[in-house]
Amino acid sequence: MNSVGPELLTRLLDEHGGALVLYARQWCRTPEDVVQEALLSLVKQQPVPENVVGWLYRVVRNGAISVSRSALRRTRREAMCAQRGELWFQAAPEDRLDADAATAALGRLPIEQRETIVARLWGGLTFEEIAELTGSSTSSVHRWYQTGLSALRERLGVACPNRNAAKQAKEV
Amino acid sequence: MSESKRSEAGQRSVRRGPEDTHAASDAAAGRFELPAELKAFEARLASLTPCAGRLDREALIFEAGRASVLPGGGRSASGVLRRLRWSWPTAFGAMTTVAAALLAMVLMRPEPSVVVRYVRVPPDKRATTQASDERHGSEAGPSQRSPNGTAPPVLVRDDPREPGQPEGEGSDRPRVLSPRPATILATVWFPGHKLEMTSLRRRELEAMLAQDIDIPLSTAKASVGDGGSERAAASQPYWQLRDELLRDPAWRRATSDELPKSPAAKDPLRTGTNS
Repeated sequence: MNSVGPELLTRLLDEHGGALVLYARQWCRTPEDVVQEALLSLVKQQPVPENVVGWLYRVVRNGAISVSRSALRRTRREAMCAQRGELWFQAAPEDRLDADAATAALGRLPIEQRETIVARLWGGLTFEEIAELTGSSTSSVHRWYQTGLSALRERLGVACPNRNAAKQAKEV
Repeated sequence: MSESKRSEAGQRSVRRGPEDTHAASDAAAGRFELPAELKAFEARLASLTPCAGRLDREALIFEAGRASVLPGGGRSASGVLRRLRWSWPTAFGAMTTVAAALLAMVLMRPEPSVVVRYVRVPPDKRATTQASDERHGSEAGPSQRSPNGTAPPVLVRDDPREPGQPEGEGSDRPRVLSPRPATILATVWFPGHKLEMTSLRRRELEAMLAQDIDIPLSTAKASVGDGGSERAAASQPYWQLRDELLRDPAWRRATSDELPKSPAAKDPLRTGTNS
């Protein structure tokens, strides 16, 4: 595969565009521009990387961090995110989780946990790939992932199904 | 890795998405097992669909096509435009530098020097030259100078030494005068150039008298090196020319306040018959 054609680019955009934007959104307020630049870089890349998705996540991460550093000269990123109020997820009636609540809960997590959850859940990267992406060990990435999920579950008020079953058994 | 294998790897890597997250991480799941409560929550959280935001597919495809045809391959369109934006200021700066350098060269160019060569003129040719000078004396004028003014004027003078006299050290070398006295001498020899004497200053006149009186100019002649066609201008005695010039009312009016007043022996107003 010498270069990325329009078909592959469209597929990448359809299947990973949202996740890449969400991933870049963890650092900067212009994630769409960062993702677009990353996809354009992929078009110019010769030869095409072996792991296209992993390569894209790395480029998006570097670009988003670079943009974030530029923005941090003017104001803090957290303040900007609070003022922005953009939705990170599409609101759908069949979703069992509230998109606004999930956005707020995810936004309050530390950046390592957020990055790991987004890359794992919506990006589909393995723990090894995330560890390589972040420059950390696989066990650290797994620990961040598990801790982040637990914090999200508590903040979203999702009860543990096993505990609910135990409560119901006691009441009976 | 062959091209087909690379293509398969690329296709496989693209297929991974939120829906087959667990299938892609089977190997990792064996080592990092999540609690059952978190597994259920993970599935519910993964059901959320991230917003693509303002990501425009058509614009992206357009930019990708544009980038693929731009010269330079790996450079982005903005980079090419940035380089083109600096090309004109760079060219302007370079041309300004060249123009300034040329101006400095013109201003600092040394004036052409005057080369005085001593030649030996036989007595018979000397008489012929005087007769020719008398015929063409009235025609002598500025046209006899170098037409473009670039070649240094050459003053050819008769050698004052007697024939057979041993040559002194450096006597055969051309004598180089500074341009200004040379202009003065040429003006004296060319009667048509008398008006140029109005630009004389006292110091220049003194220098002329002090420097050139010692040169036997009674048989001198001036010529202009214009490609070999030397042409004699005048051969009148120097002091006669000088006295005529000093008696010229126009020249005296122009230089009355700058004429040398001392020493008396060299006062041009009093030495009219000093030949």
